[in-house]
Amino acid sequence: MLNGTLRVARFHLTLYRRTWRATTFTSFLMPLLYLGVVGIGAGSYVENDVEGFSYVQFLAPGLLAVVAFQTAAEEAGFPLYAAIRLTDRYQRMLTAPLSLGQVLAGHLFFITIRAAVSAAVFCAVAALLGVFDSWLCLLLVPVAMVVALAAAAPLFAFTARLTSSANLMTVSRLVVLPLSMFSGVFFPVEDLPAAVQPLIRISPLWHGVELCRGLSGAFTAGSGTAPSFLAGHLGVLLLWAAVGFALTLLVFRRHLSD
Amino acid sequence: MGTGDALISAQGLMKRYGDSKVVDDIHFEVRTGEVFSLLGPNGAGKSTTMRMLSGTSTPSGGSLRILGMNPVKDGPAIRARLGVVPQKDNLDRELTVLENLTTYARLFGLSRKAARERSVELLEFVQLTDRAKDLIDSLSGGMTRRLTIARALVNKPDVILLDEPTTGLDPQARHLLWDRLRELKRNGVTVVLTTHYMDEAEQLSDRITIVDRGRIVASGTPAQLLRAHGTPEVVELRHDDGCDPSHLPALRSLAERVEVLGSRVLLYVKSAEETVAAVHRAGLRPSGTLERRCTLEDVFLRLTGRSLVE
Ligand SMILES: Nc1ncnc2c1ncn2[C@@H]1O[C@H](COP(=O)(O)OP(=O)(O)OP(=O)(O)O)[C@@H](O)[C@H]1O
Ligand SMILES: [Mg+2]
Repeated sequence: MLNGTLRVARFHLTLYRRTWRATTFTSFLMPLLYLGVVGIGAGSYVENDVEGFSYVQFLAPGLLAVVAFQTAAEEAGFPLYAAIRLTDRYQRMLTAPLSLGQVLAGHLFFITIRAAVSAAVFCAVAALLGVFDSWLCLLLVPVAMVVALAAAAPLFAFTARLTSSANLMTVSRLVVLPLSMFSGVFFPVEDLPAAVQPLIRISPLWHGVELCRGLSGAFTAGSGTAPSFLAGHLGVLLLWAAVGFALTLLVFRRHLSD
Repeated sequence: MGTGDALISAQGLMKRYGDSKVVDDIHFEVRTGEVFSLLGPNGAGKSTTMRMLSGTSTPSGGSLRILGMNPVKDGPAIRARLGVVPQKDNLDRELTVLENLTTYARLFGLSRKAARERSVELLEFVQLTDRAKDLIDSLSGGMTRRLTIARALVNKPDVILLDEPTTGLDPQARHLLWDRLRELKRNGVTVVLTTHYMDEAEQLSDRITIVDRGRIVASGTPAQLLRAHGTPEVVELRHDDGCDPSHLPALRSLAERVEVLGSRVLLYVKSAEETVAAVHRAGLRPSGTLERRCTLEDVFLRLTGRSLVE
C-alpha cells in the first residue's frame, strides 16, 4: 500500500515540476501580500490587541492555515478535474499496478507536500519579518499539512463527481472564498452573527486557524496549550480527512472503475 | 473449456450499464504466446471487455481469470504483469517522449536507472530514438501510437492488451506496427487486441472472436472462420446507376449467396473467374467487376447482415 502511494505522489511531483510556476501566486505571493498589506499595513491602525496578540501576530498564524487550505482547494479543483476528465492522468495511473486507494492517497500526499512547502516559505518570511518571534513557528508546518488533508479529501469527492467543469467555480466562490474570509483569520469568529458561527466552527479551516494560533501563542509567549485543545482540533481535522477519503473512494469506484 | 494452459479465460462475461447489456455472455480463452483478437464494429463492447480484463472495470456477471488471478480482486497484481494500450492515447503532453516512458516506468516501481535504461531500449524498439527529447504534440499519429505501445512494455509484460492499435493510421504506419506486434509474439508475449479491421485480425491473429452488440457472433482461427462461413472467392459487381432488382434472381442462380450493399452486389462463389464469365453470358452489364478472395469482412457481413466498418 505504502509503496504504491509513494510512487503516485512522486509521479505528481515530477509533473508538478513542469507547472509549478503557474501556482506561485496562490502558494507564495498572495499570503505574503496579505501579511504585508493587511497585517502590517492595515494592522498598524488597529490599536487594541486581539486575544492578547498584536494584530499582525494575530493574523499570521491564521494566514498560515489559509495557505494550506487554499493550496488544497486549488489542487482539488481544476487540476483534479483535468486529471480525471481531460488529460486521463488518472486512467494512466490506473493501468499501472496501483489500487484506487493508492492513487487517491498518493495524490493527497502530494498535496500535503505542496502545502508544507508553501507553509514553510510563509513561516520563514514571517519569522524574518519578526512577525513570529521564534523559529519554532516552523513546527506549524505539520499542522498546515493536516489542514490541507482535511480540506482536500472532501473537496476531492465533490470534484470527482463532476462531469463538467462549470461547477468548479461554484465551490471556489461559495465555499473556499467565504471560509477564507470568515474562519477567524482576520477577526475572531465571535464577531460574526451568532447564526453563522456554528457553520464556521465545523469548517476544517477554522480548526486549523485555532490550532495554528494556539500553538504560535505557545511558542512565542510560552503560554502553553492544553492537550485537550490540541486533541480536539486535530481530531476534527482528521475526521474531515477520513470521511473525505472514504467518500472520494466511493466516488472513484463509481466513476473510475465502472 | 477449462484447458490448463489458458492464460486468460472468460466465461459468461457480462457488463450492464443501466438497462443495456453492453457485454452479454461473452466467453473466450487465450493461450500463452498466442495473438487473440476481438473483432467487431463500433459499440460491440470491445473496449469494455478489455477494461474488464485489466481490472479497471468491474464485470456485472460471469467469471474472468487472467494470469491465474481475478481482475476484480487482484487488479494491481495483474497489472504488474500486463501492458495496456488504451483506445485513446493518453500520453502526457507536458513531458517529452522519453519522460513519458520513464515516469510511467517509475509507477511500476522501477528505479530511476532501470526506468531510463528500459525506456531507451523501448524507444529503439519502436523506432523513436531520434524523437526522445521532443514533446508529444510534435509526433504523428503513428508515432504517438508506437509510443503508447512502448509505454505498455515498460514492465516487460507477459500479456499486452491493445485496444484498436492501428485505427486512424495510414497503411505504412499500420504495417510498421504489425511488424512490432509480430516481434512481441516472437518474444513470447501473449497479445490480445481489438480491431474493426478484418485484414488486421486476419494478418495477426491465431484466433479470433467476432463480437457484435455485446454478443459473440463466431470464434475460431481465421481459416476456420472463412471455411465455416465464407466461400473461396467473391465477385463484386458495381452498378453506377444502382442495381436493377430484376437481375437479382439471375444472379442468385450463379452464386451460393448474394448480398446487396448499396450500389455493390457481392456474389459468394467457388470460382470468381467462371462467375464473371457467366455474368457476361447472361447479358448482365455491371459498370465494373472485382474478383477477390473471401475475407473476414464477408464472414461478418454474412453473420450479421451488416458491414464491419460503417
Ligand atoms: N461508462 C459507460 N456508461 C454507459 N455506457 C457505456 C459506457 N462505456 C461504454 N458504454 C456503451 O457500451 C457500448 C460498448 O462500448 P465499447 O466502448 O465497449 O465498444 P467498442 O466495441 O470498443 O466500440 P468502438 O469500436 O467504437 O471503440 C457502447 O454502446 C457504449 O455507448
Ligand atoms: Mg472501443
